Amino acid sequence: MPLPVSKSEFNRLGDRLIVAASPSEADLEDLAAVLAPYQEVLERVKVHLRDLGFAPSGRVKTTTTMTDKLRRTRGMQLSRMQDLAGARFVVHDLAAQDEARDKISEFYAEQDCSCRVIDRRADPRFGYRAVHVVTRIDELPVEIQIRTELQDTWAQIVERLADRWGRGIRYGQDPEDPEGAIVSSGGRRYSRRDVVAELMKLSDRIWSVEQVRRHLDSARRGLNEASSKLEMFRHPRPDSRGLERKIDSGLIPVQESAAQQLAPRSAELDAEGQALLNAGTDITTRQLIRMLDIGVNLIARDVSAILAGLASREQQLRDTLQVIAGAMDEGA
Amino acid sequence: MEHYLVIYDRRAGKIIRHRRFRTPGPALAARFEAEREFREVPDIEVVVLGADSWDALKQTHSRYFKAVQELAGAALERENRSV
Repeated sequence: MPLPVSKSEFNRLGDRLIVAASPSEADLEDLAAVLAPYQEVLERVKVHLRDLGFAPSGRVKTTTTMTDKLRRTRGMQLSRMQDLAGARFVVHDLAAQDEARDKISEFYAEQDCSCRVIDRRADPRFGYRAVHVVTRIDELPVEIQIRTELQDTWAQIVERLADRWGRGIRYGQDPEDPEGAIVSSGGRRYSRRDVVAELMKLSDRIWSVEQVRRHLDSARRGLNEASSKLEMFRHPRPDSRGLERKIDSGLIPVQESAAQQLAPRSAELDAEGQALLNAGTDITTRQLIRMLDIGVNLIARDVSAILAGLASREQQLRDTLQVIAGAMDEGA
Repeated sequence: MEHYLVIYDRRAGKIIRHRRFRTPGPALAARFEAEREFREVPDIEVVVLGADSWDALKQTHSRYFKAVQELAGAALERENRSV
């Protein structure tokens, strides 16, 4: 369904919405007509997302948020707004978010639809973190928001607070009545401004915890792979004569992969590890097993270190969530 | 996929009315009808949300359904369980 008006007419409608205290009857009619094609492409995108295995919801932007955005963003034209149609779904963690982003990008590439990824995780917007994929269907943009559970919790809290404390907090502005309404949590008193500052801290802590969890998952996968490889050599246990034999061409790739893993970390190796690494392929099967063993121990040490670091980060995250949960006034 | 017209009072943090539609067209028409009705009430948000069910909507648009305390509390509970 093509747009029922030209782009310039569409933009002029946006200009009228900016200046009007509330939209006129005629403008509401125009807006309804103009948004119908956006609703239609949004429905198609939701079907695509469901076919890809996600559970999306969607909305066409409300008149108020559309008008607010036009007023807030200097030079913004209604026809260029990327999120008039938006779908959203929530995944468990960063790895699932990456996977979803790739799956969606590949899908639209196959359909010859343009597709742009906006990754707001390392580069958040006033604390907002997510991955957005903007695709174009019949030349109309649809924004797909992919959030992790924690990113979504953060965004929902800020939206909810913005409803009561003023939408400016979503864009780095002070809340309405920043000092006046003091709320307390655990004996400490917080102003609204303090709570907003805690929310910014929460966003950083979520990002930190999610990254470490991803790192931990990857290290654990590495540990499992390395341990399985080692077990393959141990069961069935080779006889002692076999163990003392120099490795043959069949085992050279195993030695090469073990050496590749150990080489960047040679400074952490003891004399035995250094000697094994320097021996190249001139080693026995027993020595190769030892190399693998050293590799497994190194990764296990990494996992323990990551776990220790994660525990303190998770505690900080819980502390901040506790402040937010306890520091709210009635109704927020 | 269902379509829900949601009329939400931002300041009160409450859904004051909602209605389910099977297809998006009538839902969008009902949205603009409600916008006319609440044109002079700036704290009222009128939106059509499409999702598999009302419960699915509670997951992706929880701010319409839960207070900040509940949102943060639920996340805290999940985090405590994962320790």
